[in-house]
Amino acid sequence: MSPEEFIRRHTRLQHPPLVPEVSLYLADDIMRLWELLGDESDGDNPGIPFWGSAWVGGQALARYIIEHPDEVAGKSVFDLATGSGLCAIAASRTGAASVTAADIDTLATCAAQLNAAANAAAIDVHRRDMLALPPPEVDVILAGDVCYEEEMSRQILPWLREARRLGVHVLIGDPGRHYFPREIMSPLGAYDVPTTWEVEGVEIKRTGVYTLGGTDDQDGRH
Amino acid sequence: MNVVVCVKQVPDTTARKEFLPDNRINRAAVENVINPFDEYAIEEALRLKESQGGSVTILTMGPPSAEDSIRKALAMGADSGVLVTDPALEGSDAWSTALVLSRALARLDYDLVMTGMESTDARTGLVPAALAEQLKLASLTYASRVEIADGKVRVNRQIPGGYQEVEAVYPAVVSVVKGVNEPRYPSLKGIMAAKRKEIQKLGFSDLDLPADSAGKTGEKAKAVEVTPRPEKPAGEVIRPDSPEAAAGAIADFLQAHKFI
Repeated sequence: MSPEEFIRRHTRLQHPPLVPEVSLYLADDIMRLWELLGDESDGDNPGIPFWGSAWVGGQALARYIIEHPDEVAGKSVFDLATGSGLCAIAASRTGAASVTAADIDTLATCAAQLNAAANAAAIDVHRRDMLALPPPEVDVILAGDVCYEEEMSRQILPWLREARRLGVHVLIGDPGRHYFPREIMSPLGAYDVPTTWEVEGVEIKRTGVYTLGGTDDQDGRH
Repeated sequence: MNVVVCVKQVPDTTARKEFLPDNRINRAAVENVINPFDEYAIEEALRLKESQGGSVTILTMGPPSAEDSIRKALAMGADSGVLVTDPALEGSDAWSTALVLSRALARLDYDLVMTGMESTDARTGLVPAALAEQLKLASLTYASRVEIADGKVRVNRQIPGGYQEVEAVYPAVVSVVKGVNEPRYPSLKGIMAAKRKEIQKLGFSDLDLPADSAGKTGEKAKAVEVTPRPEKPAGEVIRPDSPEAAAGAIADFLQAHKFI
């Protein structure tokens, strides 16, 4: 089964609760989707459907972009670990001059492309490990909900700090994940994101939007 | 500071338990979770790792489904997991569980072994001390606070009416009480990400133990009968006519039951 067939068969177009103006191919039952994927995992498909749910950090960041179009309008934007492509779509719909997005997962890049098409958003999606490369030469980098795992946070945060050092405006959405270094972030806004007990252990998750602040000599690790 | 946390998968404490003909809990009939006391041990180990460096390894003995509990611990931030699983281990008592865990620990690099103070199913509370005995290490039980300094582990050991301060050169075995910390909650996204972490699986034959040292054939203590707790009798409802009468009724009740 091709990635597109898999996504169309096991998900349906839905509206993330905090970003209802966007439609995404999302799973009704993310655990069931995870089980289905596990049977087909390989090098190109890690078997984890991060793209099948609109995580609260991504929703908050997308909402913030839509409510603050000046952050991206007329600018070149890159969405890191794009997953469903929600943040990239929000940037495209809000007037970004160009939007690129990347993920290491074949299914995620396919889902992001399908979602971009469903929202008539012009997004250039790549399957690429961006953390192995220098930060792209863009005006804005988006990172929705990327600090949920220790190792990933350890890799991403220096990369984002390097981007900031190069003059890139970095926007991050995060619900207070354990590995999120809040002490080096400047808050821009916060949203109460509807979610489920299954996904977050609560029905409403307060989720912040931040830009990298503080000093560059902090390593950002807990 | 490399910490191995011994974790047991137990029936959900809210589940109504069924028992097999040999008086063991029918674990297949209920939802199973990480022993709640072990979550405190995992959290304490993660905090030691964050303050001292090192790693946290989760060690579990149980059926293949116990992998779910290791995954949750990995999602909390543990680095690796070891599952000892073998049909020959089914029915192991506290002593043989400690024996098996000690043999698995011999394959691991650790400075501390941590556990919860007991499991919520068997509730023997024996495994931490039995593990220390098997490993010939100091046993620091019922810790409500854990500190590392100068090559020693120091704990506040909870006792009736207060606590003792106890220290030992590590490696050592430390069991923690409920409330020693607030265990972190792993989000589903974290649980999914933890799938990338490897879980090593060991069988009985990997442990170099005599065939009669674990499982039903190795048990030293045997549950010979299980009796459900009697149902609580229905409470008495009193409907006084006035606040004064209500106060009098409460006072009479407390006096009759020798509370006052």
